[in-house]
Amino acid sequence: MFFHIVLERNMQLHPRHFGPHLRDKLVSKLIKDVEGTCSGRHGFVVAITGVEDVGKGLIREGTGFVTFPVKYQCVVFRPFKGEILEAVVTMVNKMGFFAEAGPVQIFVSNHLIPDDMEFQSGDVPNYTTSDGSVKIQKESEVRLKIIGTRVDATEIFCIGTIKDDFLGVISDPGAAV
Amino acid sequence: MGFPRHMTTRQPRVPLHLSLVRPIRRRWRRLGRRPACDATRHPPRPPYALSGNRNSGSPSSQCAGCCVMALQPSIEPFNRLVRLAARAFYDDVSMKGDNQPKTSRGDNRGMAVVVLDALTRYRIYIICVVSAVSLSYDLHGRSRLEFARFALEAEFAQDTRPWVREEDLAKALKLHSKQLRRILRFFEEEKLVTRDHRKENAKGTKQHNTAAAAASDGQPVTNKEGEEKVKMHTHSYCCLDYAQICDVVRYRIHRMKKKLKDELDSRNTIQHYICPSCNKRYSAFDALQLVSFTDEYFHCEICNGELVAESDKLASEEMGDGDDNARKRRREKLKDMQQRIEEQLKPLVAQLDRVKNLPAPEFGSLQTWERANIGAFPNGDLGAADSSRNSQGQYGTPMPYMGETKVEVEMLGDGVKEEGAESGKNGSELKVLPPWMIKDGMNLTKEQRGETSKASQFGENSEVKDDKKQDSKDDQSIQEEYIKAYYEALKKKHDEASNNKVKTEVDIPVSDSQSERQVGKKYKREDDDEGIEWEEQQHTGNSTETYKLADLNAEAQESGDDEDDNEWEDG
Amino acid sequence: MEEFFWVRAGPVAHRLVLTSVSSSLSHASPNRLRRPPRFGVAREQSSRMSGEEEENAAELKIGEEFLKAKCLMNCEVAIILEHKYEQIQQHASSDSDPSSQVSQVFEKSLQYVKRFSRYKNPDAVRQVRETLSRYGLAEFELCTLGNLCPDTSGEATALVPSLKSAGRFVGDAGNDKIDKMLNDLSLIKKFE
Repeated sequence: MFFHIVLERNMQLHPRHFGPHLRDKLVSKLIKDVEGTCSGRHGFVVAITGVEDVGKGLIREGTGFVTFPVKYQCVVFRPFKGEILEAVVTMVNKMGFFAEAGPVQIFVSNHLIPDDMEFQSGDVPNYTTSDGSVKIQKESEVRLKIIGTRVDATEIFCIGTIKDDFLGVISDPGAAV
Repeated sequence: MGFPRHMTTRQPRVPLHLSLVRPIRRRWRRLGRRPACDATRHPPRPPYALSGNRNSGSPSSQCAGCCVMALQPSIEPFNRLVRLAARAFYDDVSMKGDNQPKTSRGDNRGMAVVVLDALTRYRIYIICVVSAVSLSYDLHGRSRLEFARFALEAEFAQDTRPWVREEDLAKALKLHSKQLRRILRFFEEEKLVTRDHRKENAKGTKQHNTAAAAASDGQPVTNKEGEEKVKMHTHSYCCLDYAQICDVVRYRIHRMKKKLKDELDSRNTIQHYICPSCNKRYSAFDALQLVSFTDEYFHCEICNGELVAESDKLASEEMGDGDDNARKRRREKLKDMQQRIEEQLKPLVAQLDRVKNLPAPEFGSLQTWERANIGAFPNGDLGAADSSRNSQGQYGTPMPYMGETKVEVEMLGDGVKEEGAESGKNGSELKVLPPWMIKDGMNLTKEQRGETSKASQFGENSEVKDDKKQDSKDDQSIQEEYIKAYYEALKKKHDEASNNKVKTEVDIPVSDSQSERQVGKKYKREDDDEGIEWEEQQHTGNSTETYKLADLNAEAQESGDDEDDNEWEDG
Repeated sequence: MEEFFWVRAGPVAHRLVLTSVSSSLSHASPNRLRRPPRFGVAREQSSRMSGEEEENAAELKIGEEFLKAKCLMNCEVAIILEHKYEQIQQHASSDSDPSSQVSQVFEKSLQYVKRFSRYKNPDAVRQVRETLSRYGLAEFELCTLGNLCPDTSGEATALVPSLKSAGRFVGDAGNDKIDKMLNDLSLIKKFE
């Protein structure tokens, strides 16, 4: 789920940036530093949408750097256990399939795929029901439920399932639209 | 070789902690047999009794015996837990090498249960020894009063005997020590048992008993001479780790239930994968790193082996073919299993709950425990003991405290391992040594003689008993008193038993009648005695003690056979 | 007994923390969406998890911080990110390649929300939020519904089990209310 939240960060700025464009410098540095990062608590910082407040700078002894506490609004993407979302299948193999929902990678292992879907290897590996009506392959869109998340320093990895009510394929690229 | 009959005759079991230990004790006190707390009767605190202070951590000045008494109710629930767990989880453990063919004859499943039981009840064995000692002592014309007191001492000793020398245990169980070691190693891996090994010189071992006796009589034995001359042997000791057992059992049950639940609604499970070649486990969270671009499988990061999904084992096992029906069947089976787990583990779970808020008995390492018991650190410097243990390591390199370990008290039961040749010497010692010591010595010889066939040993004992009965009428009156007290308590217990629904209690199959039968000893006993735990019996003094050892063995055979299941389902 | 010996735990950890797994009780798992709600019964399992603090979006256990925070539907995020992307493009066209200016996270998110936005028109997006917020939904629920656009009350409660908590949509009346809400949404979509 995407959120719009306010975060705070202490920014260090070199004295050479002091001047009429100090604030711009600060913001661009903030964007550079923060956007695209990931933390277990807040998830992925997708985009900074505004700076709410820049506090009083504090000169660091010895270096001349100044630390500004910056409050900024940003869009974050944070997957939750139990959350249901839609994702695009990126890879299918015998062990299950990988899907992507924005910045987050989700793995759906084969035992979390409905039992009536079987793996078919070939050029386009896929999971297909016995009657062939439903197919999961690369670029399929699926609705899945996240049942587990693991947070690394730079990444959140999720385990998902489509073995529940109202989960599964939304559209598959092979089918006629 | 099963003895299913006894099960029908067995009476409903009373949880051990509800047993009549206490009423009988009270009786003892009234009879004035109970050792008092005063220094005159207990001048130099019997070495083993000090471990009653396991909570305080230091040998305190109070009477250790009382301390043990106070603590005893708290250990029994744990022992019971062990016995329940043994039956629940380890009764099909076969201690066999893979290369040996599994014949019905050599099938030693159930042995694990026997060993665990023995560890919880090692004291039974001790008591049995004690009685032998005391009886033979009577042969020498000493008074029975002494015996009574001694029996009580032994009773205290039992509780302070968590660390058991493995050889002794093997002998008590009539197991080959190698076999026993294999079992114990298994339990060590299962985290039920703590083991310790160290080098001891043979002479020191022999002197254990005298040392113990002397120490209890206030003559601290300092036996430093000849230390270097004697060859060092590595001896292993083992001890139940109660705190850990609770955790292990709880965790195991949790895992069982969780696994079934996960299997049942497989939607919420994080799949795990295992590398068949290097056994490394992965979870689905590692999926990204495991993907192979050459084939459809996950590959081990270390050895590049093809990973296998863990629960697939179960799935394939139970499903066979992959059709819908099989799936349904499997589901039903899982559900059924879940139900049965609930039902069959109920006693175990109940016991876990009961034990949850009790402090688990802690004995510390072998050295710590021994030192605490011997009082080698009168100031309760257990930390020092611990560190010494560390310095010594587990592999028995001789340590600076070696001299002390000689003095360390091996309880009465240790005598078993003494050589038969010692008997003559013991006889001569009889005259010089105080009664405590003599008993030990005698015990050894008796044990030794009876070692090849327990039946003969018991026969002997009962003969002795008969002699004794003829010998003194005083004894008989005392005996009658005991018996009276015993039955009183027994009655109380029965009342209790009928009050509490003991249905859920799965208890150790102590079948007295059966063991008797097995030993082939004619043995005069009332039927009421059936199904009574040893605790009660030890209090009755002379009338019940001897069959105990046999009982243990009977159990060994019993649990070794497949009908052990019955007992479990009894609960 | 023997059947469950496969669960032997082997070497085990010390103290363990027991975490109860929420049990979802429904058995069907249609792998196709938009099916008629054969199992239209709402799953009631959600609220009976004990006092443990495991994250579970189905019960709105997403932490105080996020519970209070403003959630964004994919369509809203799409508007924000597209706007921002345009800005960057304008800004960056002078110095360098615009795509190198944004993080991979940004790019992937943008692609994602563009693909999964139900409503493209900013007015429609605003209407969706307005409509949904009339029903006393939590932010997280609102956005989940806005993102997934369930067709029926059965589907909605399956996807957002927390709807059935706090007595907001109880019984048949509650289901009717949900249906009405979903109908409102589909109307917005229709007239977008």
